[in-house]
Amino acid sequence: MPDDILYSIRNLTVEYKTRAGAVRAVDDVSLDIRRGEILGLVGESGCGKSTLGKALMRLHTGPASITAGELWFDGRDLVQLSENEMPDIRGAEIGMVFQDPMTSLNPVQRILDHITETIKTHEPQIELEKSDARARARAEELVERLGIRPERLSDYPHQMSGGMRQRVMISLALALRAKLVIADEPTTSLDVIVEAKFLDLLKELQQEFGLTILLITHNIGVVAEVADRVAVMYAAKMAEVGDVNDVFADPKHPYTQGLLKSVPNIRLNEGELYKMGGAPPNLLHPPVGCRFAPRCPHVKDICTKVDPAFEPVEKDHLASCWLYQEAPVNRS
Amino acid sequence: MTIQKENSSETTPEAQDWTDELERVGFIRSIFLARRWYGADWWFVAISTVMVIIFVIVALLPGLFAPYDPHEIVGSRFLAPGEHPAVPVLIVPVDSPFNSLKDLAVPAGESRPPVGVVQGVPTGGALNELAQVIDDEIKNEPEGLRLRPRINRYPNIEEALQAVADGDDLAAVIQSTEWEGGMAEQFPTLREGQSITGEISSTGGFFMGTNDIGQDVWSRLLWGTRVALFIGFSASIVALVFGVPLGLFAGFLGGPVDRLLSLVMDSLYAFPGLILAIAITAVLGPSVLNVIVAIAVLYIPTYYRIVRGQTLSVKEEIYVEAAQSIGARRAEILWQYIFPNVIPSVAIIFSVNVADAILTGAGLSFLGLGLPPTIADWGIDVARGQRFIQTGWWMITYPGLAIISVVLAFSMMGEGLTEIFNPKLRER
Amino acid sequence: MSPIALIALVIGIPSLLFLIYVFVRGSVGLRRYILTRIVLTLPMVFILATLVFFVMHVLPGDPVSSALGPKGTPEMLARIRTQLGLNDPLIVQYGRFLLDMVTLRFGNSLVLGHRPIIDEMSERFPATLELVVPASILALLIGVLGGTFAASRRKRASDYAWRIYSVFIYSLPIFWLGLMFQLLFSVRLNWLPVSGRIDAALGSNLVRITNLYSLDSLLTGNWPAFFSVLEHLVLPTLTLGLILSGVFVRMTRINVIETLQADYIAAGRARGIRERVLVYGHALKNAMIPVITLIGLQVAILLAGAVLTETVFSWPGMGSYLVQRISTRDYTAVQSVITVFALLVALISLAVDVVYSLVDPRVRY
Repeated sequence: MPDDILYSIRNLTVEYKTRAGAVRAVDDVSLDIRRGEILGLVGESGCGKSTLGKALMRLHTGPASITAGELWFDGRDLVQLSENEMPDIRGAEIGMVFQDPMTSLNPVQRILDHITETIKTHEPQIELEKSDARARARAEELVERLGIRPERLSDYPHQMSGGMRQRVMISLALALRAKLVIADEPTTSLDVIVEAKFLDLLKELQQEFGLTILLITHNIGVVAEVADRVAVMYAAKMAEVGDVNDVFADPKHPYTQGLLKSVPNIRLNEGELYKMGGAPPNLLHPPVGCRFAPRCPHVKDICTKVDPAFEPVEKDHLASCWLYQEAPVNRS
Repeated sequence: MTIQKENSSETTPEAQDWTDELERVGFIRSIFLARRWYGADWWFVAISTVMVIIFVIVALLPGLFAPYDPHEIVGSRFLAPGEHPAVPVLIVPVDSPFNSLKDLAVPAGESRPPVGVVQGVPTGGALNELAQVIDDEIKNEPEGLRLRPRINRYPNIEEALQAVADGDDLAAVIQSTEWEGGMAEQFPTLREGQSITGEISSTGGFFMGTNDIGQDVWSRLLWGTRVALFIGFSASIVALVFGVPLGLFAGFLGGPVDRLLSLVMDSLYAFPGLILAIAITAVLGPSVLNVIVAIAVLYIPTYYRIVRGQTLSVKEEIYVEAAQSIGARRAEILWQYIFPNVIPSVAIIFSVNVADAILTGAGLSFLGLGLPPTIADWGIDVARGQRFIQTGWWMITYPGLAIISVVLAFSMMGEGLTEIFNPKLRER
Repeated sequence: MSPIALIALVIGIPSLLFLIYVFVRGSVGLRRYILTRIVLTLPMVFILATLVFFVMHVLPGDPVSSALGPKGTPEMLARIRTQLGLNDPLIVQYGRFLLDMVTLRFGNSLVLGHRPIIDEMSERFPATLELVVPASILALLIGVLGGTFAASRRKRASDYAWRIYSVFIYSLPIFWLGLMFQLLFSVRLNWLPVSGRIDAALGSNLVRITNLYSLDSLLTGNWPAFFSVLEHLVLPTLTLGLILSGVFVRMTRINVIETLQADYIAAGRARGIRERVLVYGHALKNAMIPVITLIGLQVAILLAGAVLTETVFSWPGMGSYLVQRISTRDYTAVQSVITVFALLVALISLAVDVVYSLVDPRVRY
């Protein structure tokens, strides 16, 4: 695996067993995350981006499981690891920032304990040395960098504001200098001003600590602002991936095109808001062929029969669409 | 880029067909689908429903299943399950016209009928006594018959029976257990008549034995179902009838009404139910109705709380607000939105309630309160059995098992339904 | 000093000090919460007292004539009725009842040679305490640990096993279970005694201080008595504790399941915290908060179970006292016992609320 790729997702499929049958929330998805970049993962609700994010740490329990594919992180295929080995990676090498900071923090645990527990779990020597002071010192250092006063460490989550809690979440993800930070809709529950501050902070930290960030969101604006590259998902599959400027300037996949057209723009004097017709398909019985076909303005005959491959259209700009690929030769 | 045409269908064609199919599926099919969906919980509910139906049938028609009347004394006391009661019976030649002791009565003056017994065994004495009793009864009757058998004593059973086979004696009286134990094979020309004491000689013994006065435990068990289920259902229904409307109104109206009612209900709920029931039945006196009232009072707060809680949470749902904003009347809102949401919870509470009511009722009658002692009831039976715990374990064990089965059926139903209906417990 | 007074002091003084401490050191929110709870207990006691009064005085049925039975001549009946004030208007009776209750003036037994009821109670109350406390501890241990374990293994074999356990145990009539234990361990195997608190001979030698025989025997160094008490405690405690554990298993399981679905549990998992720590550390601690309140409400089941258990094992506590006095129609005694139960329930309810407020940081701060 080339050195500049931190995490290589190959043909990943995640299935949910429901009462009505198996649903593939992530269907044969491949994606590479490069070291030191901020990769934005966008798509509408239910397209599978959150599931993908969780799958990167194998966080699923219960009815969801990875049924196919490989997750090459830092030279190891995480799919092959046993359940016992995963907790060592979680938090220490891959960290996660959750959407709702209020419910993501343990209401009966002090902030300090959140952090020190994380540290002690991964660095048991600290436990052995019984040196709470060291863990505390590290925690203080950490939160200070994030703009939280050390006295606040002895608070409980409900005593803090939303923005502060979200910063606590980041500090938890960074406590052990994780290589990859997955941020799952981190700003959805924040108001606009706090969101802006948060994004600035994110960019700063990325520079300072050399973090790689996977930013999952349904808000394209956020992606435009901070991401280096963007990946677009639709109906459990990857639609398009590329440099943020390239994709925004010249979107290849019709879905991406529609998505960008839907963003309200004050400057342009359009009469009505653009709306994409139809709705995403039922993943219990996904349609044959390209999943966007029913809604696609450029639909061709081949689209309703065969699923396009996810291939490069230009250098470092991939899309899965028959517009850019040769239809397969005569299939009987 | 051209503006695309509006796509009217909401879902892809294949998905549409699938949902149609689900709607067309009948009731029976949907039960089987539910089995796949809910797994073991479905089994909980299914098995317990079957059990409940069985119990209800038994409760409605105990006479169909019970071999004996629950109050009738059918055998000797303290018979173990399956133990053959040793009853002294009349043994006569196969073709003899005599069956019972009374048959041997002859007109005064005729020769006394010879009957054989084994020497030294109390059967002889019993025969004498009983003959005297019957004699006293019949001597004043117009037929002028007397029963004064001439009792011949033999050193052992074989000789006594041989005398009958040879015709020297008209009959012999021995224990039924001995006849069944081998004598019957030895004397093929003889047969067993009736018991001389009038007790039933049940060749199979009694399924669950007899209690301290000789009643059949199994029959009492079956008849006890009626009382138990009657009390259980009635008490729960009464509690429901009072508790649910109170809960609805308190939750819906809120304010001081709610606060006052809730205070009263919480206090009542916190108080030990059995003790309150004890107090009520002690004061009101023993009767089935009083027991029902006492138990119902205990459960009104349960219905009240759950219904009130549900009402409150439904009230806060947006669609109720929306309904209000378009001017729906309060009664309408209550009926159309809140009530249907409340029903599943009430169903669950009801089944658990019946279970609890039966337990409380049994506890009450165990303590000797509540039910008049003439009714065949499980609790009373266990209490009676307690005094004889050394002699007859079956008197306590079987009624207890009956209580357990019925209560188990209802609580399993409630438990299974809880898992199925409770959204918070669903997998994410 | 009467044992009841002793127990009251032992429990009362530390509780009072504790409350004062919490009050002084606690936040405004906490103070307000505790005050509200204390104030709300009064109406509860009031309501319960009214309930007791209603049942004993207003419901039809004349306890006095039942108590005296056929021996009672009309003059005797009349005299006793006046003595008990039963001819006064209901309101006056009510007022007197409340007053008596608050000052713990229980009066004399109608039947047992007019013995002061409070004397009887000072023997019986510790007996019930000695049974109920170990039983609760047993029930909690089984219930909380079992319920949590079941929740962590949801939808798998051990979960169903625990659910079946709790449903099954719940269906057992407690008196029947006690009898079965007696049958097996006392009658058949002869390992344990059938009834009573202590061997009669040893009992007469025991010096009573608190009337908690286990404690008294320890305090006086009376080892044979101590072991005898333990022997007698096993079956009743097992009976009451097991039955109660069924309820606790179910409550804990449901609450832990709900808690395990919370976001912070997933977040903890995402930080690499081990499953066992998540379940028994994080989830359980959170789940215990509502469970504490629910457990407090189970006092009702505890007391009801105590009545039945005491009857089965001839355990001379408040429960068996109640049943005995009812069958002899000793109306004043019955009223007193029920009143004590009501007070007990109200107090424990208050205690549970206070504990809850200290455990949940959202209330504390």
